[in-house]
Amino acid sequence: MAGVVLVLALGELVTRSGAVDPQYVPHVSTVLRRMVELCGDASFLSHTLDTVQAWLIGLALSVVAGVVLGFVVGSNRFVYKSFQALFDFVRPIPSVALIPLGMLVIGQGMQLKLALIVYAATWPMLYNIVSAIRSLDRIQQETARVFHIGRHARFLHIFLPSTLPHLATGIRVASPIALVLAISVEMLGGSRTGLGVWILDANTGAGRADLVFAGTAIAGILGALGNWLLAVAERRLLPWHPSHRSDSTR
Amino acid sequence: MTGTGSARVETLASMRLASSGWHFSRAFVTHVWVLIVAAIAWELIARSANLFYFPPLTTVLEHARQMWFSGPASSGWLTQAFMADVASSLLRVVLGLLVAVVLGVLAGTAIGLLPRLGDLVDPTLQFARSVPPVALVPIFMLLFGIGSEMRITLIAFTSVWPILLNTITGVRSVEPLYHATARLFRIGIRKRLVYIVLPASAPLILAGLRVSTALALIVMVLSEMVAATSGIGYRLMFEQQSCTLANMWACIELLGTSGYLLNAIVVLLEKRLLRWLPTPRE
Repeated sequence: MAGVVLVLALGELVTRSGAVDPQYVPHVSTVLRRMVELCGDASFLSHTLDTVQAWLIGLALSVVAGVVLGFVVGSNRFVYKSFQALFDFVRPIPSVALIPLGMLVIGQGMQLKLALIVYAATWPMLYNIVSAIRSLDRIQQETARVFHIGRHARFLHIFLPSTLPHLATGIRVASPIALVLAISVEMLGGSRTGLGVWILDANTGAGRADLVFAGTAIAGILGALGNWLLAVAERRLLPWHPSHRSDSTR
Repeated sequence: MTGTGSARVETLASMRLASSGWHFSRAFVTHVWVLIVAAIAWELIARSANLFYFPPLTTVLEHARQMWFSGPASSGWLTQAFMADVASSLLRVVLGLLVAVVLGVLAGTAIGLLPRLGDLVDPTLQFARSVPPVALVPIFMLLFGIGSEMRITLIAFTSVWPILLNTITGVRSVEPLYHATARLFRIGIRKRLVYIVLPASAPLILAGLRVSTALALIVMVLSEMVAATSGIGYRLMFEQQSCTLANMWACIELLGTSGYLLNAIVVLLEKRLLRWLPTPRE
């Protein structure tokens, strides 16, 4: 925390020194004050809530889509190989490039945000589920079969414990992507409400640099909060995989 | 310290994601028929159903040819529009990535070698990289205007994080014995950096570069969609406003192809630079 204070103090010094125009770069203390004020601002909160809603619903839909598709693609070698070629081709298309098209086909609003979030945030889950299924321990499975352990128990005790950590990683990678897409759609004119719309208005409409910085900082806090919550949840919910990343790094 | 830990986990996670064998696969070659089937299906469905939003593939390709590749032979058949849209965009990506690599590796090495500095800046780094890049567009416009500099800086700022975090992890994972041996033989810090630290962290740095390249392309399009006068992103918005669907699809396909090629270049670079590794990486 000392580091944060230091950086903020440094920023305050620079902005107060007169090296930068306060009309473009507001004082750090001003931005902090605005952030506190914004937390009680009804209009700002409703815009933010709109973004958060799209973020969470979109992420949830992506998890479902990723898991279902992951199962379909991962369970069959032929399907896996064929889709791999197709995905190699589709994946490099930057998701934001689809926003203009989406605006024409779907129109402005929540549905557009959700559609693009699902498109962009499903990939990490899909990859991870597929690679988890492909890398299941054959011996473990065959041992279970030899001992006549039923389908149900195999799923519960072998399949889930070895795939869930991969899914959790996928969700952690997907979460910031979903937030980025929500705000991108808002900023590029795909929605009339949301944090992105609010920041853009503060900039081009009101010309208030302090509000732009404060709104952006809050967007950053939301993203960081999401990362942190997911990391904590993963540690709590998946304790049986204590070193789940560090042992697979070659 | 917890921040550093979770950053490490995420870096490794993104690395594993990138190296899970999906990026540049042999399947692409052996299963190219899937692409052909998909292309034919697109063509047939679009032709028979006459969908407004999904023009046939051949129409899209023809529009792309007219827009970008129908210039005079003296300029390699590239048109002026190609220079304005594609060349300027790619230049921005390459410059932005270059800045990101230089800054990321330098800062990452410093932070990796000095744990106390790492502890000090870690929370700030974690926060800075959590800000959605698109939300930074207004701020970068305030700071750098609406020229190319703003876009290059934004690309650099966004794509520096995977390289920086991976460099930190890489530098920290150098076998302590190497440092001790080097110290014993009185090998200077500069030589130690070049011959021990850098080679040891190269695989991680390059894995970070691959993640960064994909990010850079996204931010490029994004930054060009706002207040730009050139670039693929600008062209995409322009065609959207004029509702020319075939040109829009041409832009989308061009972006996909660019992304594919950029990734291929990074993978080649990675293979070439890491030839000395004892166990060949996939």
